[in-house]
Amino acid sequence: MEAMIFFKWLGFATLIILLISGVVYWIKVAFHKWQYWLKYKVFRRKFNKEVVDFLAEDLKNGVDAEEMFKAILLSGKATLNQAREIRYIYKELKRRYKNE
Amino acid sequence: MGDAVSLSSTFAGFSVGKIGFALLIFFLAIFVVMIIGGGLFYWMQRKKLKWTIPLYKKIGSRVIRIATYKAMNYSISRAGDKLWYVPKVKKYIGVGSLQSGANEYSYFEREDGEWINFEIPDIDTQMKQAKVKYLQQDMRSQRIAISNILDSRFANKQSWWDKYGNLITYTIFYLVVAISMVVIFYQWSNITDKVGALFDRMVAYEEKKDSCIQGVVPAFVMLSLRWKTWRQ
Repeated sequence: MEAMIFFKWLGFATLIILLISGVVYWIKVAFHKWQYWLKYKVFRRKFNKEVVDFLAEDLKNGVDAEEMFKAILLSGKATLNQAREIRYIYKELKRRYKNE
Repeated sequence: MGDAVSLSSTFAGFSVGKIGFALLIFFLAIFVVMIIGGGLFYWMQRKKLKWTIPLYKKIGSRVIRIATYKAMNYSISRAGDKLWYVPKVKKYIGVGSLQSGANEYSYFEREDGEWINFEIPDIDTQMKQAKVKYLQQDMRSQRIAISNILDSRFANKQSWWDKYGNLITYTIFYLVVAISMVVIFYQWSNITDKVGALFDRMVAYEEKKDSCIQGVVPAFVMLSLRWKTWRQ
C-alpha cells in the first residue's frame, strides 16, 4: 500500500513535469517564431543599415524571400537565426516597398 | 503525506520529513522525465538523420574521403523547398540528387569550401569519348598473344610425373614382387616340414593296416575288382 502511494505520487509528479516541459517547449517555439516581430514591432528597434543596404539590390530585382534565405544558408556565412532575421527584414522591406 | 513519511522510514531506515519526501519524488520524476526525453530525442535524431554523406576533398594532389557525415532534411518553405543540414559541422548543403548507395550521396568539398554532390564517372564511356581503345582491343590481343606464347613455351615440356612416373611404377611393382617372393620362400620351408610329417604319418598308417588292403587310396581296390568283373 505504501509503495502504491509512492508510485502514485511519482507518476503524478512526472506528469506535471512533462506538462510544464511541454508548455516551456511551445513558449520557446513561439518566441523563436515571433522574436523578430517582438524586436522590431513591439520594441521598435530599427533595422540594421548594413543589412538594408545589402538587401536593396535583391529587393529591386524581386528575389523571393525564401530563395534568398536558402542562398544565405548555403553560403555558410550566417547562422540559422541570423538568416531568419535577414529574411524577416527582407519581407518587411518588401511589404513597405509594395505599399509605397 | 503522513503515509509517505512512514514509507520513507520503512525503506531507507532513516526518517525524512514531508519536504524531504516531496523533494525525493520531485527529483525522481525529473530523472524519469530525463530518461524518457533523452530516449525520445535519441530515437527522433536517428530517424531524422537518414542521409549519409561521404565527403571527399583534394588533399595534396589526390582526392580522398575525409569523413562520413549524417544529414537531415531542413524545410525552407511550405512550397516544398528544402536543404540538408549536417549537424556535426553545422552546415547547410544542397539536396543531393546523384546517389551512390542506399540513402547515400557523395559530396566533394571544393577549394572555396562549397560541397558539391557528385557521382563516380563511367570510365569506359570517358575512354570511348576520348577514342582510347587499347583496353578493348589491343590489350585483348596482347593477352591472347601472351597465352599463345605460354602454350608454345610449355607445350613440349614433360611434367615431373610424365618423366619419372614409369620408373616409380616399375620400382614399386618389383619391390612388391620381391617382398612377396621373400614371404613365399620364407613360408615354403614351414610347408615342406609339415607335408613331410604328414607323409610320415600316412606311411605309418599304411603299415599298420590290414595286409589285404594295400595302397594309398583303398577305393581304387574296388575299382580294380569291378574291372575284373567287367572283363568277364
